[in-house]
Amino acid sequence: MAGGAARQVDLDLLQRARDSLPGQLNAGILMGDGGFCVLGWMLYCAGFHEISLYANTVAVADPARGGPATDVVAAVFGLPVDDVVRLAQLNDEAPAAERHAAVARQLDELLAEARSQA
Amino acid sequence: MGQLDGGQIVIRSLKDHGVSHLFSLGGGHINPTWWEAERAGLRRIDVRHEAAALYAAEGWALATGELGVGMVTAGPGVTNALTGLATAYHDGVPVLCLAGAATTRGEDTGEVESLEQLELVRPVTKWARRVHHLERLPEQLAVAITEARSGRPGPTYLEVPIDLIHSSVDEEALSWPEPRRPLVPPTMPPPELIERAAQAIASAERPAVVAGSGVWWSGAGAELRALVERAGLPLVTRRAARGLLPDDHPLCFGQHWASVVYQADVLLVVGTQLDYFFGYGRFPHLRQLVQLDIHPGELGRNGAPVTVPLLGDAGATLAALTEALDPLDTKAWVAALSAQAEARALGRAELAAADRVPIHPLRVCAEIEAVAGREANVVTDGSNMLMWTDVGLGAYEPGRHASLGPLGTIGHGAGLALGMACARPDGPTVWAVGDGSFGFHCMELDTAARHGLPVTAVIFNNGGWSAAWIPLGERHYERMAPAFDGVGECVERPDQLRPALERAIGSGGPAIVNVFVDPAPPYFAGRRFRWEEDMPTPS
Repeated sequence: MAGGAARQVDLDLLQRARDSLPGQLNAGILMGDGGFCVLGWMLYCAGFHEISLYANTVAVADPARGGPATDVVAAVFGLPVDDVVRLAQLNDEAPAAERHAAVARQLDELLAEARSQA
Repeated sequence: MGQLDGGQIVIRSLKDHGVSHLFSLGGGHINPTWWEAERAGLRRIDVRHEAAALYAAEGWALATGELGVGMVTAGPGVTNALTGLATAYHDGVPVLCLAGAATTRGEDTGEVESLEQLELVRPVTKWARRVHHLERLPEQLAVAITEARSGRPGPTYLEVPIDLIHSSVDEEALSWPEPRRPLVPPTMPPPELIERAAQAIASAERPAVVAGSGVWWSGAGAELRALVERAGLPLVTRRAARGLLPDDHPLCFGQHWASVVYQADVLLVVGTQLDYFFGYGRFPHLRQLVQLDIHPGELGRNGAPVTVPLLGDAGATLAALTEALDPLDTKAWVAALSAQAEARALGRAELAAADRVPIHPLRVCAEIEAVAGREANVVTDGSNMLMWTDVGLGAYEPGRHASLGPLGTIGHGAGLALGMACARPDGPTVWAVGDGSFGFHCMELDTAARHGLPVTAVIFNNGGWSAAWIPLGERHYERMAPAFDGVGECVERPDQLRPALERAIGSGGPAIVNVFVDPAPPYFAGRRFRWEEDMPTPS
């Protein structure tokens, strides 16, 4: 779970999460307060049940794949943990009206970078 | 020697077992017990819905560490009480439910309130029986009470058919069992396992203790404190263990289990289930998981990788562990956790201090703490709003906090608050509730009014059900307060909060403070605990 090393990025999964990104994202709760944050949405796209994400800011409650949300997203998507942390910070700190666009841009950059290294 | 009816036998038995409060909603099938309770001087709190009777009994138990007793009538009285029983069952709270029942000969005749009640309650009780002979009632009540209190506590159920409760028996035909607790000395794991647990903790770089409700029910607060302070172990308190060490104790990190357990390499988990609410016990950096529980089924639940299972009583086992452990050098680890906690607290403080409109929920929490003080009984009730109250409302004494349990019941806070207000009248009782959850049992503020219980409902009103985002509208629930002769306050701006809370809590009666909060409040940073970078290198 160290900061930098990453496995192969799951491009299909990441693209799917990007393409279906909800128009509104909440600020920092995986699922709750009327929707998902980016991490919650990515986990949902990866097949995690809603209840494993519900009303939690930091943890995925899953008996097999649970743990800190950033670590789980990194492991499932094959992304570096630091990139996931930056994505989460961007989600949480962006003003509500600009959040979707900012997060979508960041996902596009991650996709482009992963493709260039593929 | 005279004759005693069923109600007199029930009440005498309850008094013999130290019961002083009975939470109930009356009904024809339980009248003799209802009447005798008043004659015998038991405080009878008559609620407005049977579920609230069980919730109040649960609140009493959570506040005192002792048995809570609810009583309901037959048929719909029992079905209404079911969620209360299920909530106590999942939360492991010692509650006795006394119920009325249709006559012994009335089955399948269409008799009023006739129902297969035992079949309904069995999945959500530790023990459930029907009384068939009045002479056996004291014995069966004693067993019901013992079962509720023993091992992992939980609810028990005893029903008395209406023909029996109204009948009488010669007093000389009755025997009155002595209260049975404790039947045996506290159970202990074998010494070699205590030693293995001590070695595991002593070998850790980042050890920590997670204390759950089992510590409270065992009465092991002093033993927990002794262990934590002697060995210098960071502590997380959960559920009924909240406040056993105050949240501002230098070794206590409140109930922020994730911030500690995701960094710990050795954990001692005491009296808490390895369930959904505790990440199923799977933590990425854990080398050793030492688990202590009174119930064998909890050890290694969900396949959690428990390396040292300790089956036993929390108090006795923690005392033995304390003796087996020397002070550990945890200064750097504790300092790192404290720094992280401080950073999070600063982020929260910023949000709590902001004068923004609509009001941030953390601002409401901060003002409740400031006005209600450390000796307040605090019940939090809702789902999403618990994210705010969990971090915004500290616990400083045991038996003062109650909230959402493993079953996920919401709306039960009004009942919990009644029970806690009865049990702990030395402080105000605050029912911090979402506007959705408020609707379930808000009529219990009428119960509070009739019984002089100072329950203040503080509604975190975001205008809807957050979990599903179903709007409820901008409702002025504070306007209900005059119906209960209570104080009603509407708060829309932060500067109105403190004076409104002071008037409400200071009124000494039921009150409603309806606070319109931000439906999409900003959260604070802290998504990841980056122990690889934050932790000092072990020397």
